[in-house]
Amino acid sequence: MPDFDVIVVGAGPAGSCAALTIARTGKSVALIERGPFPGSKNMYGGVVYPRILDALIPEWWNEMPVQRWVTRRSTMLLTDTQSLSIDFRSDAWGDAPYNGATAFRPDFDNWLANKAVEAGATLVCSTTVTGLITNANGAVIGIHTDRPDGDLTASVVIACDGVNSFLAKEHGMYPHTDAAHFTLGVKETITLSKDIIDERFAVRGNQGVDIEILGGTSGVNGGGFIYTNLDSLSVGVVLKLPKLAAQSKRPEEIIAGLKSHSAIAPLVEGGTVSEYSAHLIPEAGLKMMPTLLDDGLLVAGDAAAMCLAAGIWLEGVNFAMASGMYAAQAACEAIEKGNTSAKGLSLYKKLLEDTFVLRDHRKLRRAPQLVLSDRVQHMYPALITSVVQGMFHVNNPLPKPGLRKILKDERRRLGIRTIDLAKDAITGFRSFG
Amino acid sequence: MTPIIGVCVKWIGSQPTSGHEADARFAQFSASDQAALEVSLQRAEQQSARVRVVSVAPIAARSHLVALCASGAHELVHIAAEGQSSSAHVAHELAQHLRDCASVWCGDYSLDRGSGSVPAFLASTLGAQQALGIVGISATNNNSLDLLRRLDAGRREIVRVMEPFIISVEGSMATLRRASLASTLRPTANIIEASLAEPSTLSLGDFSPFRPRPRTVKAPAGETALDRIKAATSANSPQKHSEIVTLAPEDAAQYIVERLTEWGYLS
Repeated sequence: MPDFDVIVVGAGPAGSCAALTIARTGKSVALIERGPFPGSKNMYGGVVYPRILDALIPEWWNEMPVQRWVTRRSTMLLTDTQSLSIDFRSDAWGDAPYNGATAFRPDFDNWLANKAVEAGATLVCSTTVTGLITNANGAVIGIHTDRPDGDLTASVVIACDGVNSFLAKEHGMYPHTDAAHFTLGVKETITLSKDIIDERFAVRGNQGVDIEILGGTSGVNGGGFIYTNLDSLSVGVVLKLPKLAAQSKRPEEIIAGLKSHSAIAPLVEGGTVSEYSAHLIPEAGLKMMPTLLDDGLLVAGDAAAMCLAAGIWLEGVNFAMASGMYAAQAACEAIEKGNTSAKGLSLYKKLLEDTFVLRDHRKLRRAPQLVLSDRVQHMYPALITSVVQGMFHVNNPLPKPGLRKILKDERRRLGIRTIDLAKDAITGFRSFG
Repeated sequence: MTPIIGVCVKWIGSQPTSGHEADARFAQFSASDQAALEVSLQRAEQQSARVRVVSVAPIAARSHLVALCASGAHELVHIAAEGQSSSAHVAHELAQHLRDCASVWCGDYSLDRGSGSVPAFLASTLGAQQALGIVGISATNNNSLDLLRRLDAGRREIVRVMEPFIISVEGSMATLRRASLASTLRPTANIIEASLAEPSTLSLGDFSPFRPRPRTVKAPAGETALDRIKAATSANSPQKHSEIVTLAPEDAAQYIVERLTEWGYLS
């Protein structure tokens, strides 16, 4: 008889949603967290899109710990001396049922894990899972932890142990790992008063802003971001690992460069850096996704590389919560049917395939590579901003040039081949269209 | 009858800062409190004794106290109290649950930089010997311990205490063992719930720190500034170096009082 029906490793969004779903069916579930409390090890400083929680926690917005509701989304293109912003605002996003919110993950994760505990899950903190226990047939039947007498058995183990999942790797579910599949997210939390943030970002009350930036990363492929919290900003960059390693600037210098850009400096000046953190992000989407299930084992969340980094869409927490929930449903069904083999757990794959989790990844499978390519990163921002500058620059007594001529001249100046432009346009259309 | 070793711990939640409330997630026990528990667990193993953890702490501390006791304590007495209480009152309440203990172990500091006076009040209440600043045990006898005690300037002394005694240990003395997974999942410590009684209404009047009145001091004599500084600091007076005096405890106390009076610290 196993100690628990299910063991969930990692009390992040995926793990807590899994534990909550299982506990509500009356099955026994242990939620193992290596930090002293859920969220304590988290570096995240972004936007959470909790729509998937509708199925688990009705009217979650009344209790979820939120910093600000995002009502403004900006996409900014930066070159060394230029910037172009596309800014969108929706008042509807500032009212129930809301869209996205900035949140501090130590608060958010802790809240979600407590929901699981209230439903009957057993939360064990300060405990690191060091390996999997398998039977003679190789099926997973439990976990080893770093505590004395630290083995625990279960019918199913759900690995939600985050990017770099040691459990999935140990079990051979990642056939190969490639540094090019990861980016390094580096973030500063900059303290500013609420009034100053409201004024600089043109928001009121608990309205918030999400600015995604292309360029401004000192030539390293990646991107930047600014998110408004209640009385602080999350400012950072996401950097492609091989490109970061191939040059000499340190991540904090790259953030400093971003902060000193003429379009960014007025937003952050006078603030105090109260936190600096860094974390790996699995950004290659479907290309890096591991085997998602095996006998007695399911992998969910960042551990399964379920992070969507597709330029205009940067999402991860919603994919984590959904995959955790679906993993739990599959585990419960398998236990009820008395078959926890890979075949018995196959509902997980079906649920992922039928919903946004794998559908979005499949549709946007080419997007990460396109967004992080040299042309999109360096040439197109320069092209677009130069064309816009050409349009708005008044050069009398010369007459205004036509848009086609500006585009042609700038494309030629930057050495962008028509065939590459067409190729990228087709890839972009197939992904985003 | 199985001997009982008492351990007193102080739970400290995060301190509220401007605009932010205190957060129980960041609550901790000091390293010295944890060392006190570890040393008591080791001593309990030697003596086949039971370890009783006693704490005056808010309700929010319960899960942390239970997790602490999962390291091997047999009993937890949680005296629920939400506000601040005086050291004397806390010690009085702790003592109600420590009277049957042969020894009581405390940490020598708490994370809120408390006065550190609870062990002294406890020793007074229980009529026990007290030693603080302990960094090691140099010898163990039946009912006594030889303890290595830290003094200023890197010096050490060995003190012998007889049961019952109250010991305050430094955090460097031991590292608390990790609780097993089984005891973390299914805590076995027997939990005794208590509430902090109202402090005695007997008033001893208002107390405040002693602040000597300013007094006029004659200006130092001297031709030059250096001479005046020397005079003001008694740099030219003959120095009396430290002396070693061997006396019986009563005589030693009397000697100290006389010297302090002579030097003007006591009137």
